[in-house]
Amino acid sequence: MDERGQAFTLEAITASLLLVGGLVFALQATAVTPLSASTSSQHIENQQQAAADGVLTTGLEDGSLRQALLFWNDSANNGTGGFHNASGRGFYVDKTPPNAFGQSLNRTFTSRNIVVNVYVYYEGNGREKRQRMVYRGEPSDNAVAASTTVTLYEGVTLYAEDGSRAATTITNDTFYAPNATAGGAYNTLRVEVIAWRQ
Amino acid sequence: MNDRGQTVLDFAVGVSVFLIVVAFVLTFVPGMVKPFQESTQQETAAADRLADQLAADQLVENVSTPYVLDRECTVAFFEDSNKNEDGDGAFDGVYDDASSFSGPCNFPDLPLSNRLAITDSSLDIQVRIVADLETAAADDPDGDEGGDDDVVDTLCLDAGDRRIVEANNPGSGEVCDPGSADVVFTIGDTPPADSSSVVAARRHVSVNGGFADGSNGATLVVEVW
Repeated sequence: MDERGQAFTLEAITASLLLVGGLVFALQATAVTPLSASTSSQHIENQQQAAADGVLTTGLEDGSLRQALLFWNDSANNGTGGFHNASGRGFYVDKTPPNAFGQSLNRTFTSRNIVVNVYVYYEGNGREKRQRMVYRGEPSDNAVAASTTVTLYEGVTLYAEDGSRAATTITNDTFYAPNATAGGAYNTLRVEVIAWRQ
Repeated sequence: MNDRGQTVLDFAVGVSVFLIVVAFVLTFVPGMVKPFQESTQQETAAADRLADQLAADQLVENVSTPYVLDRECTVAFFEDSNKNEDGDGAFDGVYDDASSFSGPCNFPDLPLSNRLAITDSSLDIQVRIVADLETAAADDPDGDEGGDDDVVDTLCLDAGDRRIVEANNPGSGEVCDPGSADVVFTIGDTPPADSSSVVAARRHVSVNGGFADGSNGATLVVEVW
């Protein structure tokens, strides 16, 4: 045995380290995960991104995005507030919002097995804060995002569950975003849609 | 022979592991052998460019609000081929009972490939606007396909009633009859039925004035092959 040129243990360890190192490098360099393998196509990501952009822009244009932002029930969850008919935490987890914006999301994404998160960013006490509108889980590495901004003015009222205008005016107590400016503007909201294939 | 440090088993395991890794990498690293196989690179770029061009520029009413399509220009775009391809600068609109729409629109009244600025004649293109409308009257205007069916279908301008409905097998005698001034929102060639690859690009758009069920959201689909 002494004459053989193989140092079993040391060689085996070195070889396996090299092999595993190479595999890890290859996996890091490309997007290969069980959930996202089919979305690693740049073309599909481009399409989802453009679709998200379209949903936000058309929603802003026809007023459905503004309605979805104000679709707030200030007495839900023992007074902490939440979107109408949402889960116990105030945002939608298993469906898109039951309004025109949600229907638009549904037609564009959910009906094609693409899930979306919708976040609303607003200014509160000088910092940017976040309110979830739709939360379907942590996005995958291949998720895409699109965003747009909406300015709300003082004296605007919330929307009721049936989509009509409610009597409640947005104030620090009745709405998730506080009154951040001294003038006639109330707050500037940034709406972000994150889409990925589940 | 006994003095060599290599055994047959050693060699077999080593070579097979190497071959498996090579096969794995070739399979999972996309585009590694791209230049040597038939690819849809050109179609992919074209589909994406055309969809952006249509949804954010050529069909819109105001370029500062992309994805909001102008109703008259959208109808004129999908109009029967011989009406708006003469290059005289005026559009021949059937919208509002064949009355007076003459433009302007953001695309020239030339054949589809000129409108889209496609110079490569090997590319075939189809542009459609599709949606699933909600009410039975809009989803199934002929009343012969079971009403509101949750199936996405090509849209159609019903010129007589000045409304947009789902096409549902357009033809003579149907509510959507391209032979009598109605406009089906599809233009271009028909995609191949075999297994060759067709690249699709999609944009969410809204059409000014809305559809027969009161909604206005639809999907613009550009297919290139």
